[in-house]
Amino acid sequence: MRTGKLGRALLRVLVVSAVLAAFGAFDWYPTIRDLGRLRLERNDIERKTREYAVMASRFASVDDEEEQAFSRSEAALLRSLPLAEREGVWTGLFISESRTWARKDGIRSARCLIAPPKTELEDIETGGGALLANWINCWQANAITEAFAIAADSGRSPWRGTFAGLHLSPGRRLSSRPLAIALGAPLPALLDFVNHISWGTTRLEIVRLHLEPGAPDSRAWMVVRGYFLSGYPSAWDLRWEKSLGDDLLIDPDSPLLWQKVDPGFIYLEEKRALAPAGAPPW
Amino acid sequence: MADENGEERRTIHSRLRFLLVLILILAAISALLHLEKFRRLKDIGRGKEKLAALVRSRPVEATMARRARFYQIQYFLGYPPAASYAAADLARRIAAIDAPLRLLSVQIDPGVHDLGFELTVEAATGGPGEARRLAVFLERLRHVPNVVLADLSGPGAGIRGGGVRVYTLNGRAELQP
Repeated sequence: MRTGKLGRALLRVLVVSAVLAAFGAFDWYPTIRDLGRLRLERNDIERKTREYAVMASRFASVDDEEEQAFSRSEAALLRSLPLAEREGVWTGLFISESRTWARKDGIRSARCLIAPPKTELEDIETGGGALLANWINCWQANAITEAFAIAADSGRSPWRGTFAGLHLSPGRRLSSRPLAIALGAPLPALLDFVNHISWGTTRLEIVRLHLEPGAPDSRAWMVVRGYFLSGYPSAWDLRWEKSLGDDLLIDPDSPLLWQKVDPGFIYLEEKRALAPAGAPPW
Repeated sequence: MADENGEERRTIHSRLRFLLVLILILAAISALLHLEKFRRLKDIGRGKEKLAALVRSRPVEATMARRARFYQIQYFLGYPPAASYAAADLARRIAAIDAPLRLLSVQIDPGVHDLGFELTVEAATGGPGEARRLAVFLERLRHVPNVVLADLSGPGAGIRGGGVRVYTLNGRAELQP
């Protein structure tokens, strides 16, 4: 009899334990775990809200003057991109501007290279042109071709972020076209031309400059790149599938970003003339 | 007999009451836990709404992004003439270095923030003065304004014949002072 009573008591304990275990396993434990997670999440949101409120109290908000500065900046960016309906128009603009500066700077001979050497040469000035052509074709062809490849690779453009926010009219596309120019002239004239290459509507960027000093004439070639808006698809349309090299990034911790922008802010000095020939190097 | 049946029924009722009370207590504990969970969820929802409202009223990150874009555009607009001037000026200063070596070529690769350059120079071979002449040239190159780095590197010296040796030097210069 006592054994029977003991057995029944043991059975009751087992039943109670099973009920407790069921509640614990299927309800209490998951709920307590969720409570812990939710507590951390709530604390995190409260901390973020406090920190944001402190940050916002020190931050200068945008006003009408600053909005106008932003608008003018976007407009200036669009204006800086010449409209060339087709790539041939852009190339013609490059040749025309190069010819103008070559004459102003006293360049004896110059040749524009529309594609890697040996194709579509355009003489700007005669006189020494054959020597220049020989120099390009025999000694510099590989180097110019390599520089062309670098300039044509849109993944190496540092302006991806800048152009990413550009709003173009329907039918307009952003293009970039590398070109090259070879020159023969006295060194001061040649360097003046190098300095002036970016002053025109085409706003050309030098990708590579190769210069060989000599007398009476030095020789140089430059591979340059410019950006323009076109109306028709072409092989020069910019695509940003891959990213290589440096992109222009603004330091997110810069104190400049906490203050209103200065509409007259100039990041880089604008056009400057080189020191005249004979001036001390420093 | 009847007493025994009655006692047995009372025992069963007692056990059932115990079990019922136990389940009610356990259910109450569960309800309290779920109530607390619901309360914390509500708190989190309110916190998120408050943070979102604060971000809407004071869009700090969005404004910083707009200002960063303003400075990006200003840099882009000034870059081409600044880089052209820097490249031409650097070439002018390097060509003007008064050193007992012959400058064969200057190659300049403008980057976003600085210029990379590579020079080839020619030195007469033989004699103890070759290394000294190269060292003098390198020292003067390092003192050219805006040059931050210059060193003898690259593929190394090569003999051109005619008793001259060609060296390659690489370096970097600032885009603007």
